Amino acid sequence: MIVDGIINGTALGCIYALVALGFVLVYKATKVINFAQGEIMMVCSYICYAGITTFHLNFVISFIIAIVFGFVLGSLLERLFMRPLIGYSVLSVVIATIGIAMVLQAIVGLIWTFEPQKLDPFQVSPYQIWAVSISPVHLWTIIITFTLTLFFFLFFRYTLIGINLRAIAEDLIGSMATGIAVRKMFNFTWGLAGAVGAVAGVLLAPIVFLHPHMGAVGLRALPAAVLGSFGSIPGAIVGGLVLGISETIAGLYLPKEIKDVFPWLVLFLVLLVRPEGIFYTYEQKKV
Amino acid sequence: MKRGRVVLAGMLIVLFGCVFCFSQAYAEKGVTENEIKIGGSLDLAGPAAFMGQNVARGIKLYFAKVNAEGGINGRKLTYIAENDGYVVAKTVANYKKLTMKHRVFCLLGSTGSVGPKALKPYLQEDKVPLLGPYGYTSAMFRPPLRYLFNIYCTFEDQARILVDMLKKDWKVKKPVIGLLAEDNEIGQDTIRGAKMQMAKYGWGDPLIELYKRSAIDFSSQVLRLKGKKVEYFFFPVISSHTAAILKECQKAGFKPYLFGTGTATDVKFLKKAGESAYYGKGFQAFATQNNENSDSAGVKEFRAAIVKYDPENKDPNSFNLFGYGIAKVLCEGIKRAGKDLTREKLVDALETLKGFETGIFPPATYGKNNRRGTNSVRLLKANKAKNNFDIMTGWMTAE
Repeated sequence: MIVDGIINGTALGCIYALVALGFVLVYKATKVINFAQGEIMMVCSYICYAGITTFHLNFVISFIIAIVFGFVLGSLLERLFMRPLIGYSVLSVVIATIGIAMVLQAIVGLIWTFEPQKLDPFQVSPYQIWAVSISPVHLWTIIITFTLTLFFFLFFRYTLIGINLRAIAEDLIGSMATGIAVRKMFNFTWGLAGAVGAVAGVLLAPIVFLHPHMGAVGLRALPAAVLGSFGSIPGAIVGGLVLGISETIAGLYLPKEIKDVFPWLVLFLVLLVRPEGIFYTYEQKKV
Repeated sequence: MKRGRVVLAGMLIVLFGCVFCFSQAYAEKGVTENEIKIGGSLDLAGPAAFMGQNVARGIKLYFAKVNAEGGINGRKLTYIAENDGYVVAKTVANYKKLTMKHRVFCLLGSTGSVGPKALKPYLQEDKVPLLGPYGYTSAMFRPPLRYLFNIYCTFEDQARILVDMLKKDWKVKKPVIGLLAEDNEIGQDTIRGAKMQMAKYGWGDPLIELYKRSAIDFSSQVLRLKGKKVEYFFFPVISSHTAAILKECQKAGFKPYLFGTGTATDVKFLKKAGESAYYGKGFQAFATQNNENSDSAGVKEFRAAIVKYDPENKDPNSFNLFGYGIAKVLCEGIKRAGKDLTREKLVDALETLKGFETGIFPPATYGKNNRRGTNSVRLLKANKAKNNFDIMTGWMTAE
């Protein structure tokens, strides 16, 4: 049972991690917590659904279209709604993201109605690996999450855009002074977060079903981002995994009432010891 | 001259008397000579909008049919639905808007039982009848409230019916029963019902697992129940959670008898659940109303009404049917209340319904201290070849 629990927890943690990744990417570059991330994820999964059901495309093509759409949507939101708010208080920006979330929900409800829809391209029997069975969607979630982690590691370390983004996260004024096109980079980051949201949404849809309010899952993933220090990509992945595995194992061995609050207990404990999150790095400044 | 004045005064008194009596006959809020206004606070754009929108559509369908047939006692029915977004505070605000601004005669339908529960003191104080809340908790009729009429078998009763069925029909000796329920009042109702009936047969307690509405993972609960060798697994939860739990059972290789509830008894649910609905011994569910594709007289009438009055609805569902059914019960009450319609007369008239057949719900009965309507369900089983459910039993009631 413990092995089953760890595997299920890993799969659940990967879902949290993917959703948290969207939050982290935007926050890392722009210091904005995008409360519409869950809804971007939801819209993109509907795009994939429309590709399959309305345009009769195969899943892979629909998935790619959803990712591209997520990138474009993220960029557009930044250009139209976030950029004009640069310089305003954080509260205004946060409220704007909540407003965007509500508008996206309403638009999706108008187009696809509020009826839950099924998007399950992985619907085959669970795979049996030794004595443990794992559903295809969970297996793909684990594979894609680790692939994305590797991709982002290489992207931020070796590409010019990635290095620019790291520089912006490190020192915004300095980056501007060195000629980095900060606004373009902000726009790109929102696009990237939208694309990651699309991946998360399509992987989440078979588990919670497509629904205009499925973006609420995003709030469950927030602790993962906080646990991993919010601005850290490996932190989001580790935070998601810690939460997913601890939630599942708690569900197996602790009183049933504890399961859903256990991730929050873990979060409190970690924050008591390390208020900045697990992956926060302390800077040393020469004076 | 004096005599003439007396006659004139007498005539005026008679005239005022007539006007007074006439105005009294139509003094009830929401009732005029030609119209009866009925309202409802439902989730039309929130997380349960699919439910609310379709219940409202079913109600309007039945009203369209009644209106086309001449209305009730010459009065046409109008339904005013307000959106509460599944938020209790908005339900209360909508109630005030419906009763004070729109001045509706009574309320019909809701989304869930939380909103109507919050309305209970208002209904009692203002003496406004509410019929057909879409909820399953026994708090809706225990204690019975004069103005609140239910028409759905609670999860408490469903759990009791399951235990009775295992004992009496399936002749099971001492089953290991597992429950997976939401951690809320409805879940507690389920647990109470199962415990009550199992204690009656000396079967001990069920094995209980709970989850929060926002949960997306049921693996640990299913694994725990599997580890405890549960033979009969009851999970009366919303449709998408039922499908997710079935998938989890398939993943875990867990093969008990699987029982769900009425939220998971339509073809769309089978599409959502896929192969997992037929895994192991197959999925069975307690239906609280007839399936929208069944051949019962009430459902045939519903389908004919859709063709005639709502032809745009190409894919009628169980929520449409529920709305249609509760509207039918209300209209029967209004008919029985007579031409001189008042809220009190409606309540009295509804209390005269004994075994009223809608052809949609089990026979409905109300009385002085009876506001539950029905406490019956029937068992359905998923049939892969038909891609639908087979009816396994007649209407069953807990003892």
